Amino acid sequence: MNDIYRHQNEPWWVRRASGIDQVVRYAGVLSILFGVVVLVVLFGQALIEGFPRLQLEFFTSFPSRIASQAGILSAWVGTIWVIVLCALMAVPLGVMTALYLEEYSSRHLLSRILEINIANLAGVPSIIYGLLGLGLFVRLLALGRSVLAGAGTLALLILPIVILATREALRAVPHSLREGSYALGASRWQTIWHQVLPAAFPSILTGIILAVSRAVGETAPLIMIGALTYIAFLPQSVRDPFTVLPIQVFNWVSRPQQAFTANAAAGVVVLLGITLTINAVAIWLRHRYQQKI
Amino acid sequence: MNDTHTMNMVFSIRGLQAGYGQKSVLHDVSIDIPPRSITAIIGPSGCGKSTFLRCLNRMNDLTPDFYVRGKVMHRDEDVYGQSVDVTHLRRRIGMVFQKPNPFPKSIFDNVAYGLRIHGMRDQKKITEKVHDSLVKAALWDEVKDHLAMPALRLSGGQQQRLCIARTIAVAPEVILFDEPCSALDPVSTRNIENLIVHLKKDYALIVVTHNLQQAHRIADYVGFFHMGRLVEFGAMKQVFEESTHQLTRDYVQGVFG
Ligand SMILES: Nc1ncnc2c1ncn2[C@@H]1O[C@H](COP(=O)(O)OP(=O)(O)OP(=O)(O)O)[C@@H](O)[C@H]1O
Ligand SMILES: [Mg+2]
Repeated sequence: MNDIYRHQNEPWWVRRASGIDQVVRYAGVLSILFGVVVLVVLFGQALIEGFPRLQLEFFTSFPSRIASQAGILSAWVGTIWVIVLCALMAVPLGVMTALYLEEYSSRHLLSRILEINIANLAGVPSIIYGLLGLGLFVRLLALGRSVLAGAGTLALLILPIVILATREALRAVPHSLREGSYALGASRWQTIWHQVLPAAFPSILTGIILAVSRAVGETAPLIMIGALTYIAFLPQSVRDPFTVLPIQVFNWVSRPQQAFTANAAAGVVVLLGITLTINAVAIWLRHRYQQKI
Repeated sequence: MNDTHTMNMVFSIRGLQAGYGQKSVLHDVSIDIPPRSITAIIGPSGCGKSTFLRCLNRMNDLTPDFYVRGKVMHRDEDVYGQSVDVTHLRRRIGMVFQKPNPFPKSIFDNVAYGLRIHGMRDQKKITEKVHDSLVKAALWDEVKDHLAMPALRLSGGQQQRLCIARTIAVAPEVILFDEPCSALDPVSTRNIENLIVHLKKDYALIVVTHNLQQAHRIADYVGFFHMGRLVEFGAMKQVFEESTHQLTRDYVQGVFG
């Protein structure tokens, strides 16, 4: 009785709400479908085109002028070199910066300005980072077109992303957790190390991995600093020249011969595979970590 | 009040003023907290009870814009003195919060955390202390078979007793409680109350509460705050039954609150 009465007296926008709910729901599903379909089509097409080339030799051969003999050995090894070095530089630096900004610095004008700048840096086009890397690493520090210069450039590129993600993660740690620790006489660093960082770890990790997988696909800044497109040897040290997967793919796509298109497609499949694997590992790690708590 | 009297007090506070930025919250609060007793702090919402409590272990140091003036003596140490080691101070003045806040770790590690950060390495000693603290907090029988279980899986009342256990573990002299039962059901509330009464023989306990019956049940002394001033402080019976202050009488009779 009461219910019916209330229903009739609801304003129009309350009654309409269920209709709006439906619309939003379908719009959401459609949006997701759109993304998934595009990804599947892209991946599928690359797979169909590149599948014949996805043999063991493709991974163990250097690039070559003969399409059927060309492989991605120098490219995937170069990618691993660059990404590992890049993460080694960007992750500690970014996490420490975020820790300082979030946990130590007082909320003054300076840190507000810093914060806004970092957010802006995260949106700067990657080619600009290429210019910066060229000036800073290649010329000023005279590192040449080396693995180190490439990794440094990409580290600059993902540094703002790592900082922002880490700050978000730290901010999401409930205040009551810190208070519990301080109330027992823990110092600031003990609280950060034993409580805040472990609690924020899954989110920090996710942020780092998303940043790194972005670095895996970056091409423009590396071309900018002069990474070579044709490399028939493996880097022996961080001072050696290098190439990476996206550059190799870019090189093959720009060749006129049809045969190289298949190579490019196979390269794309490998690149996507690496990115998806990295993300899957992130999800798995996160899940495992959360179950322990 | 003579000097020996003051020396015996766990806290003796003179002319305490505190606030946040432009907003002053506590005005000229003076109070002596006796050892091995339960002091209840009562008063309407927003009158500064939590602020007062957090002045005692300098928990408010973490709040931006917070300021404090006046003298807070813990035994013969000036809590806001220049040479005070705040971490050491907070170890000796434990605190239990309104909402149970166990760490997202195992039950064992929750209690061991305080011991470890204060440098205890001997595993046997840690295990022993964890056991003792859980027994004292009346939680041992319920958790002894799953010390490795995540603490967040305990019930609210158990979590609060765990928070008390981890506070006891670092051997404080005083324990501050900020509405320790307001998030709990009546049975858990009774458990915590019994526990607090039991702890009285070893510690001085200061309990902020909105529950006047609770103050009546457990307190030896009662301080009544109103709009940042300590209106009255005295033995529980006196404050509840023989108060000469109109404000106190109105409050304990539930006229406002
Ligand atoms: N971090 C803060 N910044 C600014 N003002 C604050 C802060 N914490 C508390 N206050 C203000 O100080 C006054 C006293 O707050 P306090 O928490 O001490 O009251 P309380 O007596 O504990 O209230 P309750 O019974 O509701 O817990 C309130 O007016 C509150 O708005
Ligand atoms: Mg309060």
